Amino acid sequence: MRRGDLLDAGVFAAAGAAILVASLRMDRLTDRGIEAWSAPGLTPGVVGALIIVLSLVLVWQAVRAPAQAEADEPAVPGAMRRAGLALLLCVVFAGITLGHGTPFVIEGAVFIFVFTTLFSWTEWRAAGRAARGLAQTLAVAIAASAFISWLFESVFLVRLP
Amino acid sequence: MDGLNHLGAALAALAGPWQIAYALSATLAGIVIGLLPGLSATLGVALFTTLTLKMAPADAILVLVCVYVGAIYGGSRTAILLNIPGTAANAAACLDGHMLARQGQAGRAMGIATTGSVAGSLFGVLCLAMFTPLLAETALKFGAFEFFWLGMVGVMMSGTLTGSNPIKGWLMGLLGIFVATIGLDPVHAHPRFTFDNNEISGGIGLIPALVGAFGFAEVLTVMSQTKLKAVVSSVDSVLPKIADLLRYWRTIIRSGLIGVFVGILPGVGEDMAAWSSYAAAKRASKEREKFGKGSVDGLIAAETGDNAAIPGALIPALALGIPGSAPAAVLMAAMIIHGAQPGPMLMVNQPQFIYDVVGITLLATLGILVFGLVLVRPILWVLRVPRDIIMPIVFVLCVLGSYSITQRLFDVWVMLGVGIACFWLRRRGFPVAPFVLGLVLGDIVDKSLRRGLVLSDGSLLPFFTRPISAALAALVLVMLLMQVPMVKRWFARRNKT
Repeated sequence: MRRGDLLDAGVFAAAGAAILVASLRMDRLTDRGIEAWSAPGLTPGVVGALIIVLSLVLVWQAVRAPAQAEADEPAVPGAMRRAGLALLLCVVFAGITLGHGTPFVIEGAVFIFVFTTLFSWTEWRAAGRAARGLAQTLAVAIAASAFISWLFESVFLVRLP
Repeated sequence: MDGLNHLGAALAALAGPWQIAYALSATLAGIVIGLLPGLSATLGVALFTTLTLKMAPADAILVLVCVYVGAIYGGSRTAILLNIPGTAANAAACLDGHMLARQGQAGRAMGIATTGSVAGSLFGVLCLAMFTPLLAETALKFGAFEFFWLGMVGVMMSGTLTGSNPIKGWLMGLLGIFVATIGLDPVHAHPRFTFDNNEISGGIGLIPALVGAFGFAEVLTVMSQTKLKAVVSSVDSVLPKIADLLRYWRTIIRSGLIGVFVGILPGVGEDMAAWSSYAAAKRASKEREKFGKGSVDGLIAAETGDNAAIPGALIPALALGIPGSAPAAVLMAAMIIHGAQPGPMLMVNQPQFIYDVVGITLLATLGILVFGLVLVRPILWVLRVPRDIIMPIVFVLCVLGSYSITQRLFDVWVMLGVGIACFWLRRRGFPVAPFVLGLVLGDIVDKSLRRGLVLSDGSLLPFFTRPISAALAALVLVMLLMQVPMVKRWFARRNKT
């Protein structure tokens, strides 16, 4: 039995059910003289029903499958920790700090500097070049952020957040 | 005759100094993107779509096609030198390309990869010019019923052929179709799943979603992996030997045909084309034992196949509005943003556009020939830049790229949300390509289903009795039946006997 697939199937089935219920409850616009067959909820309703059916098939496959390793990719030590750190930094930058008054060129430079430093610090310290690594990263972060900001504002005429 | 006139006009328009400068720099940018593991052709095209929004439509499409062609080719560099495919399409090139490099023939391998790529691309361009008008003319007979099934075939085929479990692929395709329905309904402008939020009423932007799926998700995937040290060994001469080309002409033609055919299949893409061409070359070869150990035949087959798939993927995109691969899906979205209307009416309303794309692909092919032979060593310098610097810069471009389309932070949040979801789902074995196809084709499927039912007054019969509809419905049924265990076992027994 593949427990991972059972969980995934459950999530998809729940999503499919939610989509189907919401579609059935959607206004069918019959008071506007619109045909029932072109109701807005038709396509998402069909999609929701199909998702439920396929989720059940996935459950059936998972139950019949021989017991085997759950992971779809070979486990890499520290993979989720690194991904989690990258995710946190990206969400803080793009989802929280952006668009609150700080010029983008500064936010971008800080993000690139902090991101690179956090991931490369261990390697720099081991090689005895922490100060050099910090200085280089700061220079690259400022240059990259300045160039990208100039490119979007002056060449592509985009008002930055 | 009209076709030749249009092609002549397209080539004349591309002969200007700005067009050549755009083509060369975009192809080089594409090669760099393809070179860097973790950056895909889809991301490259999506990012450049956001960068070229304000350009003239002809120049924007020129840049995007050149980035696409360059990126698919560029991945062969790292495949040969580092045994790491720059893009998924170059994974097959690792098998023999890297072995040749280990035998001290890295330059020869890169020259062969360049020649195979150019040959495949040229073959594909020929097919693009010949078959797109024919397919578009056939598609004029399509109605709502046919387009519904075509959309479903596209999503299901992508789900069947990508990833290890078609059920998971189809679930992702349906998820993409659902996401495409969020926002104002295209028929009656009625809000669907908007939760009374004005931002969501505008729908989920296609480009921010694609940048999230192929950009942010890739950044997370790359950063989760352990670091790889790029050891760039010395490179011998990259000029291909004429003897190599003449000896493997059958492989080039076979792989070109396979590449174009696989490229035409919706959502399948260049990686499948490369593997299919490689497998066919191995079956046909008299030196099968050399495959995987430095076979020139294998390398040529893989690179010819994956580059022939690029024009192949553009054939259904232009003629039917159904993209043949994920990068073609983004390219199609960009074409729509710039005023082109891919689909059967393109040949009627904008016939010149098809030949413009033919001319642009030809120019991009010449670009990869130039850079492939001239700029081997300087381009490899890019591999020395640590990923810890490249990835945050790529993410900043993803953020600004998503933002720049409508200048809404909502699009940045869409990019984040889709990226996180696709990163997680991919780790669980759910392929992303069907989701992209569903997102792109969702609008066609939605409108066609409802229009068809209104025309037939609620009857499902026309969906199954009109000739083309019936054929497409049968294809969907075959794809479904092939997943039934009893049917799979029967076919397996039949193949053994």
